[in-house]
Amino acid sequence: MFRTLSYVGWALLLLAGCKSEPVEKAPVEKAEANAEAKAEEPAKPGELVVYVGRNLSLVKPLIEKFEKQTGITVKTRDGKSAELAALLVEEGDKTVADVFWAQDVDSLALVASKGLFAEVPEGVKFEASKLFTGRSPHWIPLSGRARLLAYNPKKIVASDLPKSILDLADEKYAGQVGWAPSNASFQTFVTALRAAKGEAAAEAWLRGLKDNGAKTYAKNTPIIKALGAEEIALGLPNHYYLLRQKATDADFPVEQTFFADGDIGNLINVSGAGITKGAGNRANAEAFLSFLGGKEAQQYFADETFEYPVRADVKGNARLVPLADLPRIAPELDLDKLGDREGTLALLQKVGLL
Amino acid sequence: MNRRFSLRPLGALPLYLPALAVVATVAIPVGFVALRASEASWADASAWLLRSRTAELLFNTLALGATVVIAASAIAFPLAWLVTRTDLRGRGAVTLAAILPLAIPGYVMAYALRSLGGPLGAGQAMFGLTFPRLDGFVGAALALTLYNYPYFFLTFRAAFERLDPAQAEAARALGAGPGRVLLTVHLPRFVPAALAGALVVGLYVLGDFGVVSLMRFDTLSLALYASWSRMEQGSLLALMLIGLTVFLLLGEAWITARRARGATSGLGAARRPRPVALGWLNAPIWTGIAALVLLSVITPVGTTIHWMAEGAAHFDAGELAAAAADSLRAALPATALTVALALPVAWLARRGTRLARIVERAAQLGYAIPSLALALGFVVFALRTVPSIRETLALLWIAYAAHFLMLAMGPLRGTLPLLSTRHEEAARSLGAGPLGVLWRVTLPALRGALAAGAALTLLAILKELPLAKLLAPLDSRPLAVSAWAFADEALFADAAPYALTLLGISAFSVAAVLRMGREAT
Repeated sequence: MFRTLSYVGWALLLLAGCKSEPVEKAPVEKAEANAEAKAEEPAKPGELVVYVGRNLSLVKPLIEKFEKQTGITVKTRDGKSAELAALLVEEGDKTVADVFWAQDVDSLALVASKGLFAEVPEGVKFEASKLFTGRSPHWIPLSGRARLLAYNPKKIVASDLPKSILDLADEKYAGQVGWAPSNASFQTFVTALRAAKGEAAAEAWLRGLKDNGAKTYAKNTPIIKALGAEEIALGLPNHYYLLRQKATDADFPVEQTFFADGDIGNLINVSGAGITKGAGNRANAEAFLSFLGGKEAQQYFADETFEYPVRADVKGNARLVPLADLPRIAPELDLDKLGDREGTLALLQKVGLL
Repeated sequence: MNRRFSLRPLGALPLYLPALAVVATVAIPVGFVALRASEASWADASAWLLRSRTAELLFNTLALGATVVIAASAIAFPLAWLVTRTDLRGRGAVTLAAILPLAIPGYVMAYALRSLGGPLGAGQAMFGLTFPRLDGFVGAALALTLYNYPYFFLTFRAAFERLDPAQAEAARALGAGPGRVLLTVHLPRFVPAALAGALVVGLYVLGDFGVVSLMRFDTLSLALYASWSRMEQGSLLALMLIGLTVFLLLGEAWITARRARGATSGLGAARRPRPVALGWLNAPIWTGIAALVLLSVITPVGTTIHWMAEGAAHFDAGELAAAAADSLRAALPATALTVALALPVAWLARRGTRLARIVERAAQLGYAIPSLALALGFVVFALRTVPSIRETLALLWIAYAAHFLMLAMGPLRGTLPLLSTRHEEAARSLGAGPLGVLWRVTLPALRGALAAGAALTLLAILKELPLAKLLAPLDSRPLAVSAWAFADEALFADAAPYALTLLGISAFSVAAVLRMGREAT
């Protein structure tokens, strides 16, 4: 019976010609060279379709501001960055999306690796602080998210906190740590760890933490909740979840801190956006990226989403470690090395975490 | 005497066409998954599927599925008996309370149950009692049982309502005690309903990610979730799940085939027996019902209200209304389509022809395909064939129908085998056409089951996430998506109004659908 079904399926799909074609790395069209001039002009009203891999409600006020300023109507489809990246890959050049705005480098890199992004024209690029500049011509960084250590002061005294994320495999922290191996931000950290310390060290650390009884959570929010409930003493989230929790509940009994300066545990992840190759509203897409990189939008990220702006000329959120200190705190790393999610997934699978 | 009367092929065409459409529709995502999986090399595929971690996850998944199926049916059977066969007061309210958990999104249930236990949990704060922290296998099994038992409840209830008391009375008259009557007369009549429920719940557990991940229990869906950026790996796992489903379906077919089929003496004989007087049993029964409702409805709803109170929710009433409208635009037509397809498919399935079996299996596979694979399969197919449908609601409706057809069929499958074909034969011999028979004889006997199927489908669609996110037209953002997106970012206060509206709409529509079913019978 199943065989009959699958024959029908194959026949239908072959009929539709859905077999994925080998990816062509087509040379960038010359037309794009002219885009530079266009980006500075006020965009023509019309439509723009954005796939939003971030929480839409958090960035909606920004999108509305853009619509007001330009007269462009923005249509959105929102979801997890990884899901939308998978969708874009399947839609290929037939997608309606003009812009993909993703939460993490891995998703952007996946779409770029399938040759689905056009190059971002020079006019759209802006002066990002050094920390956030990568060499990828296909997307621009838009906001920063720091990895760090969250802890419950009732369960652990500050002097006992580890100096490096690598210390968490120490027996001293047995059964105390919460982490989220299936979470995209954590996976980007593992990619960074592999790039910085090598494959073997990364594997040893993952195994060490697993054997040390680290508790697995689905994602960042449950880690913060578990810290508050004293299930665990230490957790490895992104920096802004605790700030949001504290915005509604100022007495929430959890604190967070960076590891020692330059530690790989202080990885700065970026969200970013790129323009699809098939974009039907290219000029509008460029205007949108310029807007997101502009001062107003960057200030919004700092004030409203508790993220780090990527421009040095924007005032950071007072609740965050000052932007100027980040280069000292963050590990030295090439953002372009953060795209290898495949290798990270393979490692996490090998260690038995996925 | 042959029970299976034959249809003139042409007269039955309107029944076969939807059935064939179902097969073709389900074949799309299955074919997509098979194609993507075939892009993996043999060595990669076997290394991926045969690693020990996959075996471990498979074992976890099966153990969880079996536990939830057993626990959920153990709750649902007595409850269905209570509301159909006893003088229990407030049967309507109990029925509604026993269906409501279906409206609760899995992640809400998981967050709620997890907030109960532990030294700082809600149990401590409210009653001064420290419950153990719900976690791991037990936590996942409890959460999944609490919002999946209604599937069993509805199918059992439909079966109870069609149960002919005459057989039990005959057995009693012939000297059988109540226990023997239960074992030899009643229980066998529930096998179809139990199997239908077990398939729905078991397959749901195979695919669940929200609850198991929050309860920190690793199942196959964890590996599946993490592998979509390597499409061939995700597809291999999806194929494995489909294979597992086929295996379960074969097992079900085997059980069904070994069971002696029996039919009631006729539709009209399914009268209501005299209700059992509960007497002193009322007290323990109500205690049990109260505990069940407390855990399965009040705890998650209370948690959501607590979220709302936690912070100044600055939600926009206009956006909330728009989200509600998006939910209904997606769910109502999709439910109508699903039920409209379920009837001919279930009806054909009863006839037991080869084609009928294939069609029924297709519907079951549609439910078993991981929804992300389903969504991508439909996107790819639409873009290669009728690109203009991609950004319309029609694609979402079709995908929902393919995915949830099995839910709409569940109560029908439980009820149809109990109906004798004699009245239909009589109608045929009096000159009615096949459609006339369906419309005037079979359908009226099935209204209750159809209503139950519609309710199940509607609730599932209202809280569904992956298909809504990837297939809904641009700018369409149903309540479930909004609520989940907020909760995912720890913005629980913002999520609450959406979640509560979702619960309200679900409760209201279930009450309405069930009323329709009751009035009809």
